[in-house]
Amino acid sequence: MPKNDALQGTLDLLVLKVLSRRPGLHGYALMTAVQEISRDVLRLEEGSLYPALRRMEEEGWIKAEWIIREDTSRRARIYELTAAGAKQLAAEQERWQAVTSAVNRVLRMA
Amino acid sequence: MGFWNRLRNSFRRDNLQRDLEEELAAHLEEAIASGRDPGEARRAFGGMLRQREHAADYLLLGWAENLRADVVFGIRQLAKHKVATLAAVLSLGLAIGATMASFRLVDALLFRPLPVEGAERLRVLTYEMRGADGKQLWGDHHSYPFFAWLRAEMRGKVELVAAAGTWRMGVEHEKAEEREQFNRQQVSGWMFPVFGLKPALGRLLSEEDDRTPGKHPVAVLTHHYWQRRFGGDPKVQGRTFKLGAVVCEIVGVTEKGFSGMEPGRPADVFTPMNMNSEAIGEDGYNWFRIWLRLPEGVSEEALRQELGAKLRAWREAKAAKGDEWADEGARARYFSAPVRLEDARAGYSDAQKKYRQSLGVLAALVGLVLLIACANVANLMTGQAMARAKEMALRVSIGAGRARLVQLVLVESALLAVAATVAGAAFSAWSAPFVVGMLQSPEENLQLDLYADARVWLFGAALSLGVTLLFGLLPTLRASGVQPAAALKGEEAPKRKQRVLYAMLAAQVAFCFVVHFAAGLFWASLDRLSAVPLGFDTGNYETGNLVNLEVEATPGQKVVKWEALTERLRQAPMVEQAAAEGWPLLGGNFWTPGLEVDGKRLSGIETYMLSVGPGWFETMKIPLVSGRDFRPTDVHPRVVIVNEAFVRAHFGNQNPLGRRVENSGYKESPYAEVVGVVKDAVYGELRKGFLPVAYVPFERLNDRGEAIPKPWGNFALRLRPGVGVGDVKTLGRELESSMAGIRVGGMREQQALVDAQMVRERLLAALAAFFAVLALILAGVGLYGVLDYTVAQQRREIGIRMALGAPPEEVARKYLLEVLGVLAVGSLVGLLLGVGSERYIASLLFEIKASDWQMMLLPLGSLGLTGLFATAAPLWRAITVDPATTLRAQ
Repeated sequence: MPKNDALQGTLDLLVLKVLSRRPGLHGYALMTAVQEISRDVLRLEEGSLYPALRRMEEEGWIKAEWIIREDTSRRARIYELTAAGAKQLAAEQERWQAVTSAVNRVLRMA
Repeated sequence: MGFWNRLRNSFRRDNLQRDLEEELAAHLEEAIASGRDPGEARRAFGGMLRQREHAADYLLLGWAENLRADVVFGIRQLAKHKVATLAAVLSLGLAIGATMASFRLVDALLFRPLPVEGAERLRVLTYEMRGADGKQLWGDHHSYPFFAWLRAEMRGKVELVAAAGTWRMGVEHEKAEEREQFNRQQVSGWMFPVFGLKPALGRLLSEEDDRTPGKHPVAVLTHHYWQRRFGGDPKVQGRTFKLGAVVCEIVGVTEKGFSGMEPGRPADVFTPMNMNSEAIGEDGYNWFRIWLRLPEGVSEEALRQELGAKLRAWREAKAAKGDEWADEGARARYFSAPVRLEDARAGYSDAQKKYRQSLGVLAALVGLVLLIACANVANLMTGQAMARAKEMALRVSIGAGRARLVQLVLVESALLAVAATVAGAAFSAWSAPFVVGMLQSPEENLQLDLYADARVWLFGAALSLGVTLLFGLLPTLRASGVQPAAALKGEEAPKRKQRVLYAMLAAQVAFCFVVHFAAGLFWASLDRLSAVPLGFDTGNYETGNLVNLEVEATPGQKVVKWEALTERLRQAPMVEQAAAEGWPLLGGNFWTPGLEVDGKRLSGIETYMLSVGPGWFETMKIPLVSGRDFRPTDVHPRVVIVNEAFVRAHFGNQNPLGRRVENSGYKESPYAEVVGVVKDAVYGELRKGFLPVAYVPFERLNDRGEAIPKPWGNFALRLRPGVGVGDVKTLGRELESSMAGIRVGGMREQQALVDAQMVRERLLAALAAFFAVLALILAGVGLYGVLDYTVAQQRREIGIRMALGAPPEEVARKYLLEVLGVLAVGSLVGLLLGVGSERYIASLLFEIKASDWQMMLLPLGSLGLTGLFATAAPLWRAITVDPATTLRAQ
């Protein structure tokens, strides 16, 4: 699995977006969700996912809670978007659109 | 939110760690379950440790985590140097404790605001007066007619409240076996609503309780007295007590915390002003203070001027044509006397006036001791910092910032300061009441509420912080200034740094000198004051005690048969001799008469008068020089006995017997004949020594030659040898039951009256001596520590010099010269400071001056000796350095 540097700046965006659609995912499910939706193109790295989750929790974008999972009856930490997180997501999305459209223009015009 | 979360997280680190680990473990498990290679999955995490650190970094606030580490490290450091730490905590603790104790005293007496509404705007009305010597004084007592008039005049502008001084007086409670004493303060009834005071029980007084002289026998207890005397009895309302012949009913209890307006003498009971019915109509009787609270939005200066104008108007309206004035200037000064509004937010009392300066001086001495202690600890820590230079250098070279090092050392300082403050608080909790205890005697009774309130804690915290900065800053700067390359190579600290240590030592010596100097002055003052000859004999258990008994007519009973009483007392089995007297010598009363000798008004030297009965001189053991004692038939103003000082001052050493002393106040018998001369004795104040005194007969005639009834007086009693003062406690009761119409008040021991004259001096001397010893020990320890450290640092240098042939004397001389230099510079500065401070303490001294050269000997001697002791051990270590061992070890 090659390291995907393009993900660096978009980690927050991806996590927030996925959580906005499917609240109540735990870390592993988040990772697999991104993988599935992107058809295996994007993979979140464990090494950066968890620090990012903690950081976003600190910022107040997401909140976490421990639940007992029905399928495995084990404790799992699930995440959910907060109001601040939703706002952040909108901002990140806008930024992403701006960047991609700018890049597209460059590709087209140059 | 983010900040506090992180801060909290940094102290919940273990919990968070466990959370994270569990989450990651669950993730791993799931990954493996879904078919990933276990090894690969684990590697993807990049190692659990890195993961942990990485995630934690977002959670923890760096400095909080560092702080925790520094505290732990600091405690370890302090624990490593147990003796040094203990010495630092103890010395600093003593100094901080003394500072806190003195703050508690000063605060309780001078600064703590009264617990009343708008205390910061409370004022007391005073007016200018001229003393006998023309000195400016500020009078604070007024008469009731003036007060009532002024209050009516100022109505609508400012409310005035009258409050008499708090007096200790006898009281008879219901069913009480013995007569007790309590502190009674007479106040305007409307004081309570004006001051916004609330009752804890029943009701407080109001204007309704203070209208008609003698018609409001009601009383309010303070919370404190209610608890102490009545055990907080909820049914105390309606109970009564007897003040003389008046039965007063208790109507309520004040809120907790309020005990009158006189710090130093808390009130137990308040009664209305109008119950002092004899004084209420007297214009010549100034017996209370006038209080007011500045109304909002009114200029204090305008109010002051208006009150001044009112005083003038009152005085001019009252002035009689026949009033005599020494000169026109005195007259003008009287009418235009300015008034002042004294800030009374912290109360207003004689005790404040009496002890303000003494406590100020003691606080200054305490401050010096604290500085010495701080310098000590600073030196100690600087020494340690130097010794730790390598550690610091290592920290710097592996990337610690200077700020990090500063924090490290400051944390250590703060730990020391906090430990010392705790020790100090414990010390002050014991020592502050102890000092107040020193001000207790039958004749001197300073009562202070020393509870530790928020002010005390705040002061303690501020002190702790200030002290940390004071002694922590120097070692901190030193630690952070370390040069890694040099320090790691083992190079010595530059010489410059040594000089800082010596400068601090010199400062310590200077402060120590000042404290010693002051202590010496106070001791010499006490010594000289207690050596002042009394002129009479207070006696003791072996030779016969001298006591004074106060007697007054019961109300309605105008006459006391003083002669018959004297006889009865003389016949009492335990009494050797007894005689009537106006009041006891040194008892606090003064009578300055308008006497003339050879047509000249006595002036210049203060001259006093005292009425005494026959046999009084014998009782007091004041020898008769010539002439005769009073006879039972003698009356005032026919004859007079003068003391030798009187003869010297007013008769120019001529034989005064048969000469006339004119009594300007009497028309019928304008002169008295001198019938005897006695030896000198002190009169009202020990400090003043022997002054001219005219003794006149106890019985007195008015202008028409009729006897003036005397409803109040005292007896001087010489007890038989072997009779204790406690043995005659019942004498008063026996006397009352044997003769109707009299009440016997308190018994005052003459020795106690003498002792009370020296309470302040004794306090100053004892505390200053304590501080002096403390300062000396601290300075000695400081000197030892620095020298010891210096020698240890320079072992290699000493070794080299000795190896090159330097004799031990030369090595010793070097260090001795350094110490002597420090002592000399410090003493010189201390001497200048001490002499310079004289004017602040001159009025507390007695017959001694700061410029007396003997006073320098004590500090010089004690400092020299201490220096010698402190130097000896390190010096010995220096000259016994073995070059071979030292050089090999390095």
